[in-house]
Amino acid sequence: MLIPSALITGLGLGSMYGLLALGFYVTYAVSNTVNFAQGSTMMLGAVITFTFGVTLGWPMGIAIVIALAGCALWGVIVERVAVRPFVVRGSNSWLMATVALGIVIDNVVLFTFGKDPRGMPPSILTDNAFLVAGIRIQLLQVVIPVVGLLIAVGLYLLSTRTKYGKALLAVVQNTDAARLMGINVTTAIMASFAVSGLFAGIAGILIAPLFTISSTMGTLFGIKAFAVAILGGITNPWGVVLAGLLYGLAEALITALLGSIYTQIVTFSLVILALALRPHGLFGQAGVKKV
Amino acid sequence: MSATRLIISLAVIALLSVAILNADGYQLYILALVGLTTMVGIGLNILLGLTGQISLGHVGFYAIGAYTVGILSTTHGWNFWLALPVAGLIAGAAGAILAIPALRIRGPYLAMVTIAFGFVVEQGAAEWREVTGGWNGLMGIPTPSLASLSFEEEEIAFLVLLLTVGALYLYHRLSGSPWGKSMRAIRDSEVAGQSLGLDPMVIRTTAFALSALIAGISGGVFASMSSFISPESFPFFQSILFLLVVMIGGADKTLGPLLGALVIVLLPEFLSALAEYRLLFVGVLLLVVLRLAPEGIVGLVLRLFGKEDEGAPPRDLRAQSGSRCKRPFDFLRRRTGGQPVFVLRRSASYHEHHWAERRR
Repeated sequence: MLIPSALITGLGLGSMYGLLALGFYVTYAVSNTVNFAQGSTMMLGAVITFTFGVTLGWPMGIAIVIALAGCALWGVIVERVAVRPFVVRGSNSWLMATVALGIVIDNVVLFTFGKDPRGMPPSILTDNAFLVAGIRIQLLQVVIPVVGLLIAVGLYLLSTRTKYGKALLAVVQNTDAARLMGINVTTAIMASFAVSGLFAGIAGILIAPLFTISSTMGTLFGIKAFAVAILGGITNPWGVVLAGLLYGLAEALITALLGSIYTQIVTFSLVILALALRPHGLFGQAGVKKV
Repeated sequence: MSATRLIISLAVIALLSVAILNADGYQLYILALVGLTTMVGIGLNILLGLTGQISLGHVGFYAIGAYTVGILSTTHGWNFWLALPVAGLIAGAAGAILAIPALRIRGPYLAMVTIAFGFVVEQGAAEWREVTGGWNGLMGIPTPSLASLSFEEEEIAFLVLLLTVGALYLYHRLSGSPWGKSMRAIRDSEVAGQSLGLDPMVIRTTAFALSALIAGISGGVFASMSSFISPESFPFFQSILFLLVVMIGGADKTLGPLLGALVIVLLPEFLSALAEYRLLFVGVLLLVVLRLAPEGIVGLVLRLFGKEDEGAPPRDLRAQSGSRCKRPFDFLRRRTGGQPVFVLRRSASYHEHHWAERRR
């Protein structure tokens, strides 16, 4: 009984890791950079939703739209403030700059939202539960992986079927050639950061009912998502999603079988081991080293 | 080291000694903390500045050093002076082991492995209760003593000063030695370095082990100084701060970590009136420094005074490379006398070319 319910929890969390990690993938593929503080963007999504939807009492749908727009905008701000100035200079400091910006937004939220963690009020998603073969499953636990998968498929369709998606893919393949073909690379990179922020926002809103909402809720989650992106071989979207599910399942199984105290030790050790054996991630391909 | 530099260094040390003699208990603690943070920064500078490898898990080595001294001197009743080198060696060994997965990976991948390492150490310290005391931590770690003299804050501050100066001198020597130059060569181009007969595996592992060893010794002194350690003393955020120490001060600059540590440790003290907002300040400050002084404070000062960058090739060679060489690896120079040394640098024109490319 323990293991099947652990599997369901793991699948849910895993798809959220995957969703957040897709946010890393989108920007890394297009620009070779990431917002290292992706967890903060996720936190922002949950906090904005809570503020508008619960504190101010606006309709939840509107609150969610505002939150998602806010997260996408934050992604663009991160790119303008902490990534582009360094890439233009040819420096790698964007990594630390995004960390710094994450510290700033975490603390801004701390002072405006408050220190006390808050929980989402019960909703249709958490109240409705059904029994499958004797296991109690919340509706939310089904919605989370379904939404995660839909977004992954949506991203795939968007990038292969639409003009904008193809433009992004062109930038991924060859920035200079894409520029020569009239694609605005700067805009494409900005768009990728907006999409990345959007994904983080969705993940934040979806997991908010499962955890408490506070300014620090995203830190560890973001690091785990980064581990997932790296394990998935950051340039392979399906690998990233799969790695997310694997990570979530591994985490839930370790917790169920060994106890929660070993979860982080074992999962992070596994991350090190996996990268020691496969330096380009589980599903990544070795890049060609240019001399 | 030139005579002027030697005199300035001695003057600074004398000044610090006077400061230590006149400081109260809390000030001594902060001064010692600056020294210990500088040491970790120097170790990290070997990794980041010389070999260009990032580590977001250096708090792990610091914690290993601290716990080694803590456990050996409480549970096993070891002498501090015996426990400290052991702490350094164990941390160094951990660094050499971590270098194995780190050898083949770069950038974000390496960042991930080191982050994971930091978490494993922190969580391990929390869960290995019989040995580490779990979340309750280790209490009553004795201060060092020498003969009949039991170390108070003042003596510890002097010990830290001695160790910090030692670490600075070590970095200074390493930076100018064939080893330091090989590390820079591997940093700038692994393939070119290999073709000169340098072994990246040996060089990277050495850098990792040395870096971890210094962090471990620093952690060992920290344990003895604060007499209490727990997993909460070594959070992931501390690793970020250590990295900031190097970046704010200036990577690949001998004095970088010292200035970085002064900023990172002292800034919160000066901002204590704004206690709650100080992390916000640290974040904003970091952004500003990264934007305006990409080579850190030391790099900025050197640039303002038009001084040579210590990592850069001699002027005559640079002048020559700007005009004629268009290849990335514009010169290889062999210095005669002693072991042959290869100096390898990308030319200014190469960088300028790349910047222009990126700007478009």
